[in-house]
Amino acid sequence: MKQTIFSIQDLKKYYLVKLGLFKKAYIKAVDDVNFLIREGEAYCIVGESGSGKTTVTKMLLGLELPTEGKIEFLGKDLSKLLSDARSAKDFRKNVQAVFQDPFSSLNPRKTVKDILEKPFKVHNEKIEMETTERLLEEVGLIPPKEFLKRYSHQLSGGQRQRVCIARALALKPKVVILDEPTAALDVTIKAQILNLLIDLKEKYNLTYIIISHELPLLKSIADKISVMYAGKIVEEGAAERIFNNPKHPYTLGLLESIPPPDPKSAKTKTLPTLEGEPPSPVNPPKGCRFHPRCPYKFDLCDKIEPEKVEIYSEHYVSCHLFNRK
Amino acid sequence: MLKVEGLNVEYLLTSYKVDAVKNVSFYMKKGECIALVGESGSGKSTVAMAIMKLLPPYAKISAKEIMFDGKDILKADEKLMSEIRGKDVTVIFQDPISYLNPIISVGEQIFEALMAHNSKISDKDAQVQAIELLKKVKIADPERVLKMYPFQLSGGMAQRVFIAMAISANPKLLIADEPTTALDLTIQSQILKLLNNLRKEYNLSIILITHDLSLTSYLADRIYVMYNGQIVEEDTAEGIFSNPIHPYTKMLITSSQAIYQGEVKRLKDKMNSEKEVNSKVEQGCNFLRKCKDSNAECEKEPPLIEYNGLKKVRCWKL
Repeated sequence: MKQTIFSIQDLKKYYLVKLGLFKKAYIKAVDDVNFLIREGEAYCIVGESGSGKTTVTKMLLGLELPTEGKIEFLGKDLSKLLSDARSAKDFRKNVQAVFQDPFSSLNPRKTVKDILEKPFKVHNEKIEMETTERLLEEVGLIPPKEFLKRYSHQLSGGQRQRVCIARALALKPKVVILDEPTAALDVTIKAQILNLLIDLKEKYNLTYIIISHELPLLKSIADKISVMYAGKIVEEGAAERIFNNPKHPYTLGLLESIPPPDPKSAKTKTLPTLEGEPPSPVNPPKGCRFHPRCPYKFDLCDKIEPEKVEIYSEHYVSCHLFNRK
Repeated sequence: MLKVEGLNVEYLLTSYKVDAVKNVSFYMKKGECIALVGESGSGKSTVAMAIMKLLPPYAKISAKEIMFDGKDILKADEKLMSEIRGKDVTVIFQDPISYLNPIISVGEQIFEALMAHNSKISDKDAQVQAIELLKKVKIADPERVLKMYPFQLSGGMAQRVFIAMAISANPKLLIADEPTTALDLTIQSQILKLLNNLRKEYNLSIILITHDLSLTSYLADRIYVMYNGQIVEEDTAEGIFSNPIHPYTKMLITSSQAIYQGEVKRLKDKMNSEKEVNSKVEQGCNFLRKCKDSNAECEKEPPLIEYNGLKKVRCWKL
């Protein structure tokens, strides 16, 4: 069995909002989320905007504190790790992040060389001239000498994202958290960056946590997928199963609504759609949160919240259709 | 209905100029949907804004001909243009929330759109028409939405409201500039369907501007692929997908199909690094720096040549 990197138990994150002078409410951004991430895995979290996927990653990075629940990193409690300066630094070294927008995550006043040397300076590690050059070669920016001198405005979107990836890899982390890594890029560049990520993962046995709303992209890279809806995980399992044999009606609807790049395909002509909109996180619907949009809903759905059922090994669905009790 | 011939747009900046659009020609018939496809910076939005004459003052437009519905856009003055804009031609954008006024309710913004084209309309009629419009764009609870402010709307709802305003004057042409890029998958397919239904209902012509080829496969009749300010290939949607000729079109199609099928690895040897090409060729084929099989001939600029009588391609390799 591979080593468990992150273990998340009953994770909750509520944000307090004031609706008036005395009226208060909670936004339930993440509500009772459980999962395990193992070494060398590409663990993907998909969901629509507002489903809570970014909040989960923020908590994994230690940028937000959970309202309730526990996050363990390599068997140790994350909140304890972060309370001590030395272990916190060690955690940061091991868990790096790449964000969606490569335009705002690079300092415009620094050259690529400065940007890549920064992590070494922060962690008091020795830098050699070749280190930064090797990093750039690693992410396919060739010839590296040419790129080291540049400022971020002299790079294209794809090149910037490559620099962000190089920076994340600088300290040889165990885990890289990628929040919509290709959302801001053009199609041809998307494919290139995806390929780069796949190569790097194989080469360094990296663990990826990828957040995305672009389901088709994940088909090439994901090992495991969790589908989030309104703060909850509705289905979790091996990527192959999720794509070929989705169980939860929401997963099904998501997969169906991807238009295939082929005007002749039958699916393009009909384009099946899931009607309705995701619910308000302040006041989610009773019972199953998906029931107002669900084409298969029956009398139980708007009353009782469905429990998580393991239908294959390590494939969980939260839906009454699969609860055979 | 729309004919554009030899359109050039230059941005005159203080120290240099940028050729954003170079010699672009296209046409569209009534009720047709054409798509301008290309990466960011390829000039696709600039083309659309040039037709509406909505470019900033430092943009210099020149063209042989821009005819819309029998009107000569090139010669049209600002007065005629403002009649055309909003009435005959309307635009929807990528990010609807930032185009709606945040401090005015949705209802008032729709009334404003209605009054702009019919100043005699009474308040009551405006209300009735606004509700009717919101029903057209499939908003479930129109009376309530009229009283809401833009920040209370979700992305999908805001785009629906925006579409409702765009169709309020029964336009002939709708320019949809990345209409679903900011939306989630399930909402994206809802909006695509809505656009297609409106198109049939009103015999609306649509110019779809997008970098996502898979959207065009559902909506577009014909596709113009743009690269670096030029049209590099034009054909019917089926022709582009089944028989791409230009190396850039090929790259687009293989990338989006590989992503869709989850076989990105297959592309690996074709493109995995961004090599910097030092030769700064100013002339010649636009795609030269990225093209895998370029030769000496490519240092001259290729013309847009007819190919098989059906499509037009800008490449020397034909």
